[in-house]
Amino acid sequence: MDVYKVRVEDTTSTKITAENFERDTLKSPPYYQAGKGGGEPSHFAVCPACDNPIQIIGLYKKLAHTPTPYGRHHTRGVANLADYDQESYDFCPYSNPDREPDPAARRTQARGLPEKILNLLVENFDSVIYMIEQSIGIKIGDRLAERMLLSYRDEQGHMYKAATLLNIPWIFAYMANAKSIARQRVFNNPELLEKLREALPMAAIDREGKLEGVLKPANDKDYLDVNVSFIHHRIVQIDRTINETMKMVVFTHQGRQVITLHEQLIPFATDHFLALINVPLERAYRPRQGTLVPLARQILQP
Amino acid sequence: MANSESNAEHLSNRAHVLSSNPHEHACPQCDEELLFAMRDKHHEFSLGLSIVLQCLQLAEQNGHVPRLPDEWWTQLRLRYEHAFRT
Repeated sequence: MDVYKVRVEDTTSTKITAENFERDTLKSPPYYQAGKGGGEPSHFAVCPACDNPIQIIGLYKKLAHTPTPYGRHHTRGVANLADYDQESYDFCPYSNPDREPDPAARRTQARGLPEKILNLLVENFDSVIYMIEQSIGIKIGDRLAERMLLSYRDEQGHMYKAATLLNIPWIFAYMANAKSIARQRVFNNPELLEKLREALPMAAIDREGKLEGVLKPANDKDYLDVNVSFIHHRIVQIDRTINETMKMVVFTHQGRQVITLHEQLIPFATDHFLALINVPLERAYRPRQGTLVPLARQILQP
Repeated sequence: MANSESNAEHLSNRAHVLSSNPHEHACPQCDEELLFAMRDKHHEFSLGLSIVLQCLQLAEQNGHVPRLPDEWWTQLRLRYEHAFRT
C-alpha cells in the first residue's frame, strides 16, 4: 500500500514518504524500532483501511524493485501500536486480491472494525450524505436519507466484507438498494438532467435552467417513476494505490420492463471524505448535523 | 385483548377524511410523506400514506379490491419500501 496512519483511532490516510512519516512520528517508537540482533531498524504504522499494523518497507533504503517506499501488512500485532485482526486483514483491499467483492459477503463479528465503521457513519452522517451528494450530483432529502438508513440497517451494511474506514459514504449508498429519487434535486449532473429531459417528457426538470432541477412531474398530480441503484463495487489497484468505484444506474419502467436512463461510474473520493470528517467541530460547517445525525442514531443505534 | 363491548365501540368510531384534496397540503418540492387529515368521534389526527398503502395491500390480499398490477407494486416499493416490510 502507499498510505498509512499513525494511530488506530485516527481517521486519516497519508501518502508514504520519508518526509511525511518523519513529520508524523518524529522518529519515535513504536514507529521506529531497532532491528533484532543488530539488524536494520524497522518502521511500523497502521493500515488506514483496516486498522491492522503495517510495516513500511524501503523508507530510507532504495529497493531494487521500486524506488518508492510502501506499506505491507504485518502478520502480528505491534506492541503499543495496533493489534492484529485476521478477518480485517483477510478483507482489507490492500491485502485481498478480490477486486469484485461479493455484495452479499458479510463479516462474522461486529466487534472491532464493523462497530467502528458504524460509529463513524452515525456521528458523521451529515458528512456522509454530503459526500454522496457531491459524488452523484443529486441532493438527498431527509426522507430519502431515512429510507437509505433503513436499508443499510436491514442489509447490515457495516458488516459488508469490503466495507473499510475509507469508503463509508459510498458503501452506505451501495448498501441502500434501489430507491425512488422522485422529488430530489439534481444540482450538479447536467448529463443526467439532459438524459432525463429526453426520456421523461412528463417530468418538469428544466424549470430551474439547464444545470439544476427537481425531479418532479410537470403536473403535480402525476406520478414520476425515476429511481437510482448503485451496483458493481469494484476495487482497482494501480501499482500500490487502491481506487474504488461503483456504478450509478438511473432507471424508470415501461410496464414491466426496466428502462435504464443513465449510467455513471462513481469514483470513491476517499481523501475528500477524510478531510471533511477531520475538520475540527468549531470550524466545520455542518448545516444538517442537527437533523441527520440524530436520525442515523435512532435507526442504526436504537 | 379487547372485549366485545370495546370492539363494538372501536368499530362504530369510524374516522373520516377532513380534506378531499390532500395535495393542497402536500409540498411538491420535498419528499415528506403525504399525510391525510382525519377525524373520528373523539379527536382529529393524521394518517400517513404508508398506512393507507399497507391497508390497501391487505385489502388486495383478502380479495376486497381487484388485483393491482405487479409493476404498480414494484414502483411503490421503490418509494415506500418500508411500508411493505415482510
